[in-house]
Amino acid sequence: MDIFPEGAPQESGARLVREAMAEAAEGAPPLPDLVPVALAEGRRRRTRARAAIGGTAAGVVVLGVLGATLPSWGTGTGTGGGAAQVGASAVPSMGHGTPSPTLTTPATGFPPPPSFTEPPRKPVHVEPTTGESSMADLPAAERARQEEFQQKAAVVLDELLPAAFGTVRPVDLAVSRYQGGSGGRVFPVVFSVRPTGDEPGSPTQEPCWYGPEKTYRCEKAALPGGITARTVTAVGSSKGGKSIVGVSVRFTFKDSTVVLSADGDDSAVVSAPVTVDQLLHVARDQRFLRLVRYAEAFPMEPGRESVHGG
Amino acid sequence: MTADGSRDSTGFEEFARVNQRRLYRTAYLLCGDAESARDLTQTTLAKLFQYWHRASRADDPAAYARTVLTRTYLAERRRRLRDFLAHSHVDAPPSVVGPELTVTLLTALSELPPRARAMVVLRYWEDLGVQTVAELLRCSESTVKSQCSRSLAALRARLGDRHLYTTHS
Repeated sequence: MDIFPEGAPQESGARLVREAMAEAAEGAPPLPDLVPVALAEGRRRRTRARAAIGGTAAGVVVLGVLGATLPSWGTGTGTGGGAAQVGASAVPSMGHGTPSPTLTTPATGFPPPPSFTEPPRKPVHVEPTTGESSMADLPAAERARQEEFQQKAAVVLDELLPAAFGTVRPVDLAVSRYQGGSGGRVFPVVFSVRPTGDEPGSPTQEPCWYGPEKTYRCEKAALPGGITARTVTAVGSSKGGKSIVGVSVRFTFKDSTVVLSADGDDSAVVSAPVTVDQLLHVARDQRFLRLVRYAEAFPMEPGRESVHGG
Repeated sequence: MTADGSRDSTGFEEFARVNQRRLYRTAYLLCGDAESARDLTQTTLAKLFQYWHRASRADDPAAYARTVLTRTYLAERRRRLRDFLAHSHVDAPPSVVGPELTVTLLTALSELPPRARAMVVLRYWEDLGVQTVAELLRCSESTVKSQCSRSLAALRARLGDRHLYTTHS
């Protein structure tokens, strides 16, 4: 039975809204000609898309050639052994072999990389929106460094997050972006270590903002080293009476703000398959904290900025 | 427009010049402020140009553009939510300016969830049918009806007195 018929009782309301919308739209501030900028942006998008396709094809060829010429490379630990060695050599080393240029300067505080026993994870491509930069815009050396970090972070997150999260892969939009997924579901992850910048006070020392209890919960939690973290569980959106819940952990490490968050799949109307406690378990793990130490000592993200809402 | 779907930018420019104002108005109702609306319109046009060989072959390129605009808007809102979860520093939305009725409408629209807002704009500004809105937003027709019904009630409650005042005084 249709419990929401669009009949006469709604007509006056619909007319009212239509009239108000027409008035608002007509009164919108003048629009400059967007076509030239859109053309330039569209060309950039085409170029990026072609480069991404070309890069993938080249990667497949390189892996294919290496696979063909070096069939017994590596320790031969199962099917993944050879591929893992190829992967390790394909990604510039963070601590062994040929160091990447930006990492060679100060050796102090240089954390050893987490064990790398898996092939590189193919990054998820996300097209940047207008005004948004992507890792493709970085200088080659810095991009390689960030990609390497992402690979290692993806492995650590994969190991520490619940199995329901699926395989964690880097997202090529920013060093802080990752994505888990299984069974056709996609769970966005943010792992960000961002210099606090010149702004006074630490963002994670601010008191919790208390929203509606049903949709927002903020709590404090202790991490190793006397660090106090702030956890947030929030309903992102709702569909058909089902809420999509995301969780995050934030804390200050030296001069940086660290954020680890997991979001639900909006399309599938599924919450992030991880609780705040499980996310705290990740944040307390030494493998994760090693990544934090590295990213704090050798920052990869710009200083803290506020985000416009609306 | 290039009927053969070639990547000739001339056809795109012609289409964009004719349609950008309409897209911008829809974007204005979706976003609630001119700056975000301009960005959304520009991104939509850029995406259209990127896939112009496909868009120009559509039965109705203007409808195609509207679909791109709406889905880009929803994707952007999801991205903002992720940023909020990650950095939870959200500035206040830009204050709405304009005639009182417009301010009331845009404020009321801003209180709707993004998908509900998109449904209302598509249904009552773009004058699309329930089935078309459902297809565009990839949801059921009953969802569109129920969401629109609720949203309409909320908007009517906000606009009602104001409307009576302006039309009967």
